Amino acid sequence: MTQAVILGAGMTSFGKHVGRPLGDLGAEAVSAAVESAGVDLSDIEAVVCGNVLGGMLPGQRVLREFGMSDIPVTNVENACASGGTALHHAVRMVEHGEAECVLALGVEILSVLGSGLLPQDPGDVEVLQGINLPASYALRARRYMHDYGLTPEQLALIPVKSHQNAASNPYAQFRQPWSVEDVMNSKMISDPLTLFMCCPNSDGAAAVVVTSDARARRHTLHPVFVTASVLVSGHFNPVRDLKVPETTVTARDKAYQVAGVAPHDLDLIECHDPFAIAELLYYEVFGIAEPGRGVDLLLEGATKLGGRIPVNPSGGLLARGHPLGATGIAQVAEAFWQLRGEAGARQIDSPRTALTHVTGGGISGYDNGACTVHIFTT
Amino acid sequence: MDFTEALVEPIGELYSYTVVRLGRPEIPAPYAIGVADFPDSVRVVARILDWEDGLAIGQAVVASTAPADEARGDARSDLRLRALGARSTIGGEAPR
Repeated sequence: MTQAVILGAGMTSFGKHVGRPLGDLGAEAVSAAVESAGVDLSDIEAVVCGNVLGGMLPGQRVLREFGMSDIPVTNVENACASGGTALHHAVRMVEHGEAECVLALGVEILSVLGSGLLPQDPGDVEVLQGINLPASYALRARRYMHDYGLTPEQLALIPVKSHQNAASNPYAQFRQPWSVEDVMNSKMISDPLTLFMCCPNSDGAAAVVVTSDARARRHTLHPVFVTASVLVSGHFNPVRDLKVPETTVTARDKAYQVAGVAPHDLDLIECHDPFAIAELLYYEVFGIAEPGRGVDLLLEGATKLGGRIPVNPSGGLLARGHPLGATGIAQVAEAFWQLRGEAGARQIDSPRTALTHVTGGGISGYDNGACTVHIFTT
Repeated sequence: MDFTEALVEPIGELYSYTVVRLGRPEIPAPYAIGVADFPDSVRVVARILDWEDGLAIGQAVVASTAPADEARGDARSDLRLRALGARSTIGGEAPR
């Protein structure tokens, strides 16, 4: 099997790009990724595009900006895991020798929805009862707080940390500092989650160039290897411990096994933090904290930039922003820049191993419907 | 596997809950949603009636149906949990 490498990465700023066509936004990320990789657009043999709410043929609408034609373009939708899913299939194409140079793209425009709730299946049995995405995470948070004694103010430390990290990320939607008081005083959405504990609806695009090890060595002395690319769906388990994100547990086990890494090998994590409680749960799933003790990492400052294991150095979904289909690719862009020493003011000291993770949820009876975990090494 | 109809023992226990302040137009906010566990591994996720006096994990709840003005004639959307709070206690002991 061919070893897959991330050769280049690019993204737009995340935030509001009101009125900008999806194709134009995506093209900005593609141009940046191709330039970063040092390849020509004509070298791209296939494209996989992650998008959730953009309508038909998003990948082709982006490529039309360049007049690219005839190459295979596959559009994938896996809710918030769409970007990670696009990368997974791009990596598989390279690993299996179907193509030597594949573009994984994510693009999403949510400003058209305003700032409200994301649409879900209106016939879903829990949606019929009034469950929405913030509520589903609020139920997890409430039980976690009950079982482990976590306070709302401690929960607020997550967005405070994320904003601190995002302050030095020019691509982030929210770069201003927030205090615990700011977070606690923001509007209650679904208790205990306040507005500032919820990610924004964002516009944005991100792209990475995936190629073979052999080809990468013609372009760079510092290849970023894809050492694990795992995609799983959830399983039906309605009577589950809401503190255990079991879809991610399954993906973690596979990824750690394939990559041959343990939690102490990780130098940075970009994880799926649409709501503050999620990041805490993932500290525990990825093994950097014991169950119930994720808060210790925050109190110690371990997961902020400069800490011993930065989590969401980009600011994550809470502060960088969350354009659904683009998020999973933007995480990889962050990992790529960090591993190549190109992360500027937020550069982590000599990282060698990075993990990225997205999940897509919203089906009752399932922890999540889709999850990808990627591990990258230098 | 999917959700099934089940005969539910009358008294369950609140596993988790939230009061939704930002909802969709179909259901006027605020409203409370609970996850409740009943005997024989039956879990119910439904809106909670009479939540305004406060809710607590471990609190006793009963399975109920929507009041007439909310009923849609669909068992899935008409299912409710009723919190047994200060106004209604079991065995004379108020839940936490």
